Amino acid sequence: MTTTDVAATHEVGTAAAPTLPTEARGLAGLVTTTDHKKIGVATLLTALILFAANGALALVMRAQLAQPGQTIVSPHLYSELFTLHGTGMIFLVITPFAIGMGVYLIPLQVGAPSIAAPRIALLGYWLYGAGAVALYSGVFVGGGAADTGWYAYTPLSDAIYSPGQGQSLWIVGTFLAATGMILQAWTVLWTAMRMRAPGLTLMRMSVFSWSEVVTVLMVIASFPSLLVAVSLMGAGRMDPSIFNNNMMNIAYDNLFWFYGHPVVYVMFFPFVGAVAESLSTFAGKPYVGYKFTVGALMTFAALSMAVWGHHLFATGQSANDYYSLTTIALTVPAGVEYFGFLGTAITGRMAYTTSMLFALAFIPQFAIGGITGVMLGTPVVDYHVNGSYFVVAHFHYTLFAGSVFGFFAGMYLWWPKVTGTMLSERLGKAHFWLMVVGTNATFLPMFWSGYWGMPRRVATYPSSLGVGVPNLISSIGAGVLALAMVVFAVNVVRSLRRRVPAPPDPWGGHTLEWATSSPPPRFNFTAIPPIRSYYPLLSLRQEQRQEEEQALIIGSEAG
Amino acid sequence: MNLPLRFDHTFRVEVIIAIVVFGLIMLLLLAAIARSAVRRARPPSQKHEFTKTEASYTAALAVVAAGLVAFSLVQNTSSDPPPKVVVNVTGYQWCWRFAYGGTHVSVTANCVDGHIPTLVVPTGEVIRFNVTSADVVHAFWVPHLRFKTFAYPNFTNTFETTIASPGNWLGECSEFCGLYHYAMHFRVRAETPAQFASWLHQQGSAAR
Repeated sequence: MTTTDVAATHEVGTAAAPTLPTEARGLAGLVTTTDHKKIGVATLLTALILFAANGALALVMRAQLAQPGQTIVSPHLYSELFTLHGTGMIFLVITPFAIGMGVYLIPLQVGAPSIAAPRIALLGYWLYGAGAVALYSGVFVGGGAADTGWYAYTPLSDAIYSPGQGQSLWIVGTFLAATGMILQAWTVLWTAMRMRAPGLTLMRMSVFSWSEVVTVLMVIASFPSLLVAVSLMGAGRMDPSIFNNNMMNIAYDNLFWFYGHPVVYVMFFPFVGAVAESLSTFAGKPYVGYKFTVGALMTFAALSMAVWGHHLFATGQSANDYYSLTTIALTVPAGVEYFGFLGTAITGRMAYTTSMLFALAFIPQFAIGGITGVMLGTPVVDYHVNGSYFVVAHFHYTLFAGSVFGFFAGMYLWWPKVTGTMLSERLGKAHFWLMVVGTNATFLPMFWSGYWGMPRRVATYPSSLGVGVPNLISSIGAGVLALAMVVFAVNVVRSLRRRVPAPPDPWGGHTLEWATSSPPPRFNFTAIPPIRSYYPLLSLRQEQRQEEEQALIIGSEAG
Repeated sequence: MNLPLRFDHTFRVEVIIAIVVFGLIMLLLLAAIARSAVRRARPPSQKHEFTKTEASYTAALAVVAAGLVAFSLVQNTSSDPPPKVVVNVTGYQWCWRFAYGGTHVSVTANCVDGHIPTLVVPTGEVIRFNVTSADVVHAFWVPHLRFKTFAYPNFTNTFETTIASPGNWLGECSEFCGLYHYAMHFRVRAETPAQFASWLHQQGSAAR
């Protein structure tokens, strides 16, 4: 299989159709393939299923918190719920969404017939899957699943305070999944750096491709720190006495957040890229401020490695003023990115597809997450709201109101390309509006809950705290979100059953993936169009229009 | 340092900036929608580089960011006269102990069924809190004070504050510390210095 595969890779597009290696069909094919598209789909599909599962956990939590003093779930179960929800969403859903989109799309966007080192990408998927199994299998062992929160500070997570096997499985799960993501990240980076089609220079890569490049750079630079952190925790589970030394505890915190902050942008940038592609496609023009945006992405990624200490402002063991400086400095590249978003929207002519609606809603909603991030980057403000629902509101605005909206902008944009079928726009718009209402109803009141004194990760709260009303609104909002997801699921199932065929380029796309069939053939392209800009297909249409106008002028002169 | 006052001042400034920035983004977004509707008949402009505008905008952003950083750093400096009262706070699974420096007075409870300890402090005097933990990481948070600090085992965090007027507020643990994290409450009662002195004296004789 190896030789056929490699030979085929080089032949495609230049010679007769290559003999395809035999691959298993169906589900077995999905997990044994060397086709980056199937590896990408397997990664995204697994993450999407876990997205639904972890969302269901959140619904139980919102039911428990709807009113003060409720006892729908026990405190122990509640701890497992928020640990699995947080760990699951971050390690096993949004990060794999971010990297999986790269595995699927980057070879297509750079005009390559395959991903670099497809077996490594596949191994990455297996490790991710194995990690997910390990993590969730905690619910079947004595003492239950991990229950110390997604950052699992020591010594709470050592063998004395968390004696069950759940925490050990959490270490195995996060270690495997993070290793899998590192491997996939390398294949994406290698593809973008070494396998671009002729003419596709670095500064002609799409905004999405650039966003993936900086994302995988952050994965490669920061995820190993997580491996070290959870290994330290593992050592502490064998010999808890190491955590009698404060240095070890604060070392764990720093190692964890050295991973934990860059991962926030890992879970953000690919969706910025998706929003950028959607905006420029449906505004019918090249993305505005390309060079500045690329520069901003690179600056953002570099700075992201130097802000982790802002998670530790209230520990009394961090250089608060320094981390406040680096954190607030992020407003510069973030503001430059906003120039691109708004500039494209203002100077374009917008078509309001479902994808475009998600992209447009992303802009103000993520801004709320970003602006409150500046507040949290101010130590004096953080001393009050750190560890409260204010923080929960903040990061759900970035990750849900931001990243998940960006993810759906990409989902509605690329669904026809990936599946060869069209999603219903009517159901899509219902999904969108329910999401907007549900998201803001759920997460906006949490700013007030936190400000008024509700700590994170409390299984219940006294009515005297006065946060019953915002919590009730949040819980109702969560119900609306559940409904939105049902509408999305219906749309997906309906689309797959009716199979309304998708043309190669249903939207008038700008980038190379729209120059091949939907779904693309095994080796992606039969021919690569000339690439003269970061919007090659739009460039071709512009040239064509110019030629037609020229022909008209010549015709009229001749006549 | 009057912590609530410092927080309120900083937070108010940042909320105003936040409203302005968010309003600007919404305004531009609505302008884009309106402009798009008006120019429906024309093909969209293909211009996508505004180098001068972008460069000056980036420079302006850098100036604003520098201002914000300076503001953040200035707010985060504090100097207090020597404290009149020292309280040694210990968090443990799952309640609190407050020991008064230089005395034998110590207050604790079990945080079960509403039996929570009361931290009594004088108004108008500098109070120093030494915060530590007997087991896992906790965080000592009094929402009314607009301040918290972590309680690490084998490490002590120190902060000072004055409380302007008498009152009675809830304090909480704000760092997840295990099963009964949600019930790890305490009460803060601020009294006049005279009342506080007599309370401390009374507790002292009881302790002996």
